[in-house]
Amino acid sequence: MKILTLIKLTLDISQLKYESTGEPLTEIAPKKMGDSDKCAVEEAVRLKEKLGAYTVVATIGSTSENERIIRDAYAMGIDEGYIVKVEDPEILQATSIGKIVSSLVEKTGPYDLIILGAGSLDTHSYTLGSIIASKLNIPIIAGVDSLQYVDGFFEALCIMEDGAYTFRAKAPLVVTVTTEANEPRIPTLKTILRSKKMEVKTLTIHDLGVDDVVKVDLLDVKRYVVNRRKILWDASEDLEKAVDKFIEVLVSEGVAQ
Amino acid sequence: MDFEFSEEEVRFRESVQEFCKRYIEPRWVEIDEGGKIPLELIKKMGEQGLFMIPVSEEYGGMGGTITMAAIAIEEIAYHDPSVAVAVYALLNNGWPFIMEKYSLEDVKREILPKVARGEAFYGIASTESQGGSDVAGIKTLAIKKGDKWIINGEKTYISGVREIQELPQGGGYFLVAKTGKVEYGHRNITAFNLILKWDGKVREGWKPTLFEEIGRRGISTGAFTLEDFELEDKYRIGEENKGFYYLMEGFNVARILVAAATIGSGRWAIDQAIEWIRNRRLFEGRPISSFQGVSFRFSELYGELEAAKLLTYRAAWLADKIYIERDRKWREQDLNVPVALCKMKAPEATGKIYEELMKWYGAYAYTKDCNAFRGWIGTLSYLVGAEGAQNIMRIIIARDIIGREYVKG
Amino acid sequence: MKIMLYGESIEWIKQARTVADILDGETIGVTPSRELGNEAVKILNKVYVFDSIHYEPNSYYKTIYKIAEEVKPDLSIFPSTIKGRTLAGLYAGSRDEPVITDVVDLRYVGRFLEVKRLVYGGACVAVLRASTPLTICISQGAFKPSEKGENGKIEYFSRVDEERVQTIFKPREYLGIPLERAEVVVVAGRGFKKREDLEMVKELSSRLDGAWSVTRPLAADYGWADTWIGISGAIVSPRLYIAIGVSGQPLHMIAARNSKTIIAVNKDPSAPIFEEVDYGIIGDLYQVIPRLLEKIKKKT
Repeated sequence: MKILTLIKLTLDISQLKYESTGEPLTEIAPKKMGDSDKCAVEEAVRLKEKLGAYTVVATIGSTSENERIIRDAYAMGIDEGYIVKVEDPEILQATSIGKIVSSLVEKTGPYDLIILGAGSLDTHSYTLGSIIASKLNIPIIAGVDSLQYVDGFFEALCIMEDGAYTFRAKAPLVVTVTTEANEPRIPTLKTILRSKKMEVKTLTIHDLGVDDVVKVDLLDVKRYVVNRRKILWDASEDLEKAVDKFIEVLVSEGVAQ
Repeated sequence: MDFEFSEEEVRFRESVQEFCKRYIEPRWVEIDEGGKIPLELIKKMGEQGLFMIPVSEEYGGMGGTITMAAIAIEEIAYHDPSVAVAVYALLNNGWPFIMEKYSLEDVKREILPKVARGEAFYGIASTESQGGSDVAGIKTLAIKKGDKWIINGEKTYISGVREIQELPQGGGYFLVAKTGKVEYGHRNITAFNLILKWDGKVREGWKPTLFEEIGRRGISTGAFTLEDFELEDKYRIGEENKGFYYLMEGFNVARILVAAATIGSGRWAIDQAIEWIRNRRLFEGRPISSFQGVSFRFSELYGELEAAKLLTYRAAWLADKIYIERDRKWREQDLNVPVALCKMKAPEATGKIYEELMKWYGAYAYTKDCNAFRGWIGTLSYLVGAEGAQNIMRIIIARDIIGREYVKG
Repeated sequence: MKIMLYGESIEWIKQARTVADILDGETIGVTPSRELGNEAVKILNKVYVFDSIHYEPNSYYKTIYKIAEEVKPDLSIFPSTIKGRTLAGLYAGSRDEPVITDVVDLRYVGRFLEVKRLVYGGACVAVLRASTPLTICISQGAFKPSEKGENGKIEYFSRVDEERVQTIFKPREYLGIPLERAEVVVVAGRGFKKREDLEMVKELSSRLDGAWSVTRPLAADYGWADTWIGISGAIVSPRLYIAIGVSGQPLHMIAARNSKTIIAVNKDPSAPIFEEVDYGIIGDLYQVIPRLLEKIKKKT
């Protein structure tokens, strides 16, 4: 079995700071492999341990930080890795990324499983897995909370708002995993030192036969400020008053008499 | 000069942080309050490779550096400011490192892999009731009979006494005992791998007791007597009567890790302080950080911690040059002052930070709703002299810098 | 402009209709249920219905794609949920057109569309310029439900099946109103110390004829509930959102932001939630909520 894991250099939104104008300071925000990406890598490595699968990781970007997340994936147990060199990958359209990945799959595949995180919390659109699936004409199982491989079938549990779905399909397949799928292993010092010596291959979009990338026409990004009234009452000073005010709100919203 | 950590050191630090956030941070108060580190946590730490970091891979170690060990200890202590877990880890990093240098091959293969996996404990047994700093004055006696040593004596204020009894394998200590003529002073001390419990069996002649500590309660502190305790000669560490020197080497490495532990705890205290002084509002809603009495003091304490941190990593860097890289430019004794400096400064800086933090908290700090006291009392163990009395550090520095003949009494 | 919209609930279809109202477009709906189709024709110009037992994205998108071949939409709208975005990606990928998700607003500016979407876990809004053909996913509650009515035509369409995937579905047992449809939602956060204390939340929600839920840690970490409100869970937009013992982390608040009124109870005055409330009570929930329940009981 051969597995491709896609990972992304994601910024840590809990560390995101802003200009006074509301513009996010994305350049200086710390970046790392996204949490659901780590779960995708973990899932791939588990299949390697259980079934002897050969695992490949790929990312799109150009800085040395991208090389670092490939090595982080190596330290978790991935066998081989690629960086597709693209400047400012965050502003690429999802369909453009999908084209690049599909070409990468055609060049380095075939793969039985293409696995990625269900959503990175930055500018990701949660659609990449689907776009890849449509371009390769293979099925997708998205938002997987638990993945098994049984009798030649991938079996995935997806818990959604209306209930629990179990999807079964044979390879080849695209799967996107949520952070519920597993607890990613933490690299040890030994695996970190070993990962330093492994090769990271780089490719350009031309190597993949892709002529051009399509960028998103981004006009502006600002902090999302919802204007709320922010009327506060201190219950520790006056519990009765605070509770009465609460009830007043309930009444004015029409939910209580 | 390069004041940056290498990429691997940064990645390793992050991996330790991730481990600590998952498995240590949520439980540190429980560990301190309950007075016990769960055995499964010790096993997990072993699996994660947090023990025996600078020991060769051949014996189950991580093949890393003392700097890497210091990084791990600092982060563990940041996530358990009572430092109990960090102390457990540093003992099982520092003392196996020295033991590896001088023990017999098959003894290393017997003992070390189990320590690496968190199945056995390996610590230090030097202190006796009549003196800790005065190592030359120890009374525990080891007499050779054929290919065995018969050991009689007692050791006190020893960490890990309970853990050895509870861990599945057991464990033991880097022990120092008198083996030669009394007149030879410190040249009649031999070091041993004192295996007290192994393969689940406790050896005859070992009688342990436990103390109740006021802080750093997760790791046990106890005492034990050895009554006609038999130990095979193969467990001797290095040459007879050279034990004092091996001990001093061991203390040099262990003290760097101790400094790293107190810095980790001090860093936690600093972070708590920042949060508190920003948000505690008094006198018309001013944050107390807006009072210069508070912010100035904060800056001083921050400076002390940073200074101690740099001293610690400088000592770790030098220890790596000497022991790991075997860079001939440096001699072992070059390590004495850098180590004494960081072991002197780090607990003192951290102690001052906690004292001030408690004052900023006010009455809140005096209740168990506030956990800062756990860090204060935990790191106090190093101010009262664990792993080397603070004033012994001053003697080491004075002797070296002012000159031995000028500081003699 | 021809606007095709795929929806599984009438509330959502009304919200998507609002987008069409803004752009002054012709509306064609696609639904996987006849019942919903019959309701939708009162709101949309035309509705395609395909029979379905349960959701399976690989079959659904092939069906919707075929319908789109007939309709030739300029703009296609899906819900911005796990299901919706998966479908939208498959659909847009096969039509080779751009897809923009988590859309909260859009309008014409000259020849182009200016689309506002949420990024960075909901912390920021990005404004993009786009042109049709385009696929978008709209966020729950971002657009008010449209009041417009139509007399639309219904057409039945056979479902295209994806044989390569088998599906087994276990529906959730609803103990009350589904979260997405509730007018009042009460949410419990980490201020709660014991699972049994959630009874207060259940009681409050029931007295207000609403639904209740928890924040992610209470479900995923403590196991006190199956689902939660948050970016990786349910997204709600009720008239009244009551957050009790909730600190207000961005990954939670993004899922509640489109509520009309937010009121919170938290004992920490510096909790981030107080930046996003209309009304807030600084106090211990263990004092405030029992007293609140007492007073509400007295009134009724």
